[in-house]
Amino acid sequence: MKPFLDARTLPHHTEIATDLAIIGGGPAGISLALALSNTPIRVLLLESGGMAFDARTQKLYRGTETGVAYLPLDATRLRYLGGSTNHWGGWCRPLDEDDFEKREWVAHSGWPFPRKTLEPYFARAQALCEAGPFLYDKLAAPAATMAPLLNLGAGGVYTSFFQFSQWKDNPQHLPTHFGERYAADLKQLANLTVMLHANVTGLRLAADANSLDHLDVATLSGKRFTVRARYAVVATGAIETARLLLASNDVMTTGVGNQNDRVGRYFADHAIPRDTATLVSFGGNLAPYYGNNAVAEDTHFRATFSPTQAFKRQRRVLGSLVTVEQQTKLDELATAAVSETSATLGVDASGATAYSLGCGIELMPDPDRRLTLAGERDALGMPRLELAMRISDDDFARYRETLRELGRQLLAARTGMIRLDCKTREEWLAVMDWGSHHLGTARMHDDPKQGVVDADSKVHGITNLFVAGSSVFPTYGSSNPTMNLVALVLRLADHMKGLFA
Amino acid sequence: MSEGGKAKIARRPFLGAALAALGLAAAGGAAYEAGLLGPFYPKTPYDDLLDLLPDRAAAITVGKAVLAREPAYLPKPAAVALRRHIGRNSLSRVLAVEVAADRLSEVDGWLLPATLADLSALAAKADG
Ligand SMILES: Cc1cc2nc3c(=O)[nH]c(=O)nc-3n(C[C@H](O)[C@H](O)[C@H](O)COP(=O)(O)OP(=O)(O)OC[C@H]3O[C@@H](n4cnc5c(N)ncnc54)[C@H](O)[C@@H]3O)c2cc1C
Repeated sequence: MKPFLDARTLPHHTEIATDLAIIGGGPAGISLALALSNTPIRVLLLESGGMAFDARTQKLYRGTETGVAYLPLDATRLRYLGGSTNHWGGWCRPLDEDDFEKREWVAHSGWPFPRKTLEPYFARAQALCEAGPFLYDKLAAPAATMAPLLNLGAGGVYTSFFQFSQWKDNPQHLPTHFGERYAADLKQLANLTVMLHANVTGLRLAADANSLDHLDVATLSGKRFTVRARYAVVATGAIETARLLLASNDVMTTGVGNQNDRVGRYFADHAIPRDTATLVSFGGNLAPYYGNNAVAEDTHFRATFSPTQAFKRQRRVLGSLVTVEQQTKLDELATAAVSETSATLGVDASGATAYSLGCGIELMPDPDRRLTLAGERDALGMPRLELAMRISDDDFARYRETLRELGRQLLAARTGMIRLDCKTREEWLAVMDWGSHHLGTARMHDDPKQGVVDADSKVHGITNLFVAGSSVFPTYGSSNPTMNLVALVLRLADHMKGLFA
Repeated sequence: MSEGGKAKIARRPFLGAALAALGLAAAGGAAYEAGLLGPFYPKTPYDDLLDLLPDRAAAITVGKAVLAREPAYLPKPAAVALRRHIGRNSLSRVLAVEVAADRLSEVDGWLLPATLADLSALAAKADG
């Protein structure tokens, strides 16, 4: 067992040399460190926080916002070992094939590789997330043996399945908190040093601006030191990754990797407006696995509704998921609409049950939804960020199209009907919420003019600097990011092994 | 509960007793419960269409919401269009085809087959 080091105990101006520096100990950084075990690569993981929440450290995450209301930047993530998995929901689902494709109706879409490049890594990513066997839509059959699925008939929306992270042996059945869960495993790794309370404040390039020379590191207790690494991986989450790249502007005045003004742009999250629709099931209560998690085949799962890839293509909509939330009461008009419609369709709806619906909406990539440096500085002297948040009417309209298809299918199958609760922009914004899935600020693209990192997650133009995490997602899909970003990190680990071979 | 409510409930046994006296207790009770003796609608020029609606009271409620967004609604041309559209088909057949073809109307957000919304509007208009 190798205890974690506390950066506050280092002598001033220490200089540390290592093969690989991983900046950030969230699921991305931790998964990378674990994947590089049993290699000769000497790895140093630098984590800003300690083992638990600390208000002063958390304050480093503060920023400002303009535009559409968003969550405060210091409330939508956590800054200690394990990162935001210390309060995540544990929802997991792999991205779809078309999430990787260039969709001609989605400007700036497409990854530099197809889904099958990532597929070999899904099972291990799933295991790290402790989400059970990799089943997803194969759960339809075991779910149906528990209670019938809602018959949607044929159409553009189908019943999709999410699986959930379940922290092994956790008495509260929480999703896996990567820091606490894997601390003991990290301590076992002979090639790894984990340093807590170590904030990287600068990525310092060599004078020719082609390679990373060293990292500036600081503690809140006032220590400053330097790390020299042959390679470094920024794994600080999509918001902080943009800050670190932009604020490191001493050699490249626009910031590291920002020669084409891409860093911080295309920021995205999943929009999750609440109560966007009401679903009435003519046949009464839906199976419990719609509104809550259920267990089958050794995994916790939940059924949702998603647009098929064919429907997305045909109707030019983006990814989304529809969740069943609470049971709800119907007013006089709603009761009449249900009564009239069911009677006309020849269905007995005397026991009909109504539910509010939630959702997760993929946004169009938007270069102007972006993070920039603000004037104010944090306790370590780093400039804070300003987020310009945007969501377009098209984003809402496309999702509404999918909801409408769900409603159409229910009528066709004579199993239910739907009310679309939001129409105007004001109505959507009034129920707006966000998933805290930060995406896209250091997007991956083969062309340096269009992306910050290449297909190997290496920063364009810098020989030895990489980015890990959902900041590199060029298009987002509607699946929650963590299991996917861990898969991407495992692929990066293989690439790293090749570099050191 | 209001006095009116009490009075309503008190009527059922009375009606039941009256029907029993006529030897129609079971059938009469069932008919009452099923609403066959329910609300009476005066004759209208559109009864051929409105009779297609299995739940006229509900249709009127829905129709009022349709009319609220169509203040210039004219029942005569609407009825002509509906007759032409439905033709000799059963209403359920017409609605099934419409749903398959995505011909839906939104009534206060509720997605209905378009013809059902149109019939509801007519029912509400005919009701005054
Ligand atoms: C409330 C909530 C619910 C969520 N639910 C889900 C869900 O159900 N499913 C899902 O897939 N995702 C969910 N997410 C998102 C998920 O938490 C993130 O996708 C994931 O944590 C990102 O991992 P990461 O390692 O890239 O970044 P982070 O988790 O943000 O970790 C970054 C790490 O870097 C450290 N760090 C930051 N700056 C520095 C620095 N300068 N120097 C050194 N270290 C630094 C931080 O302390 C942190 O430990 C949720 C997020 C939130 C906030």
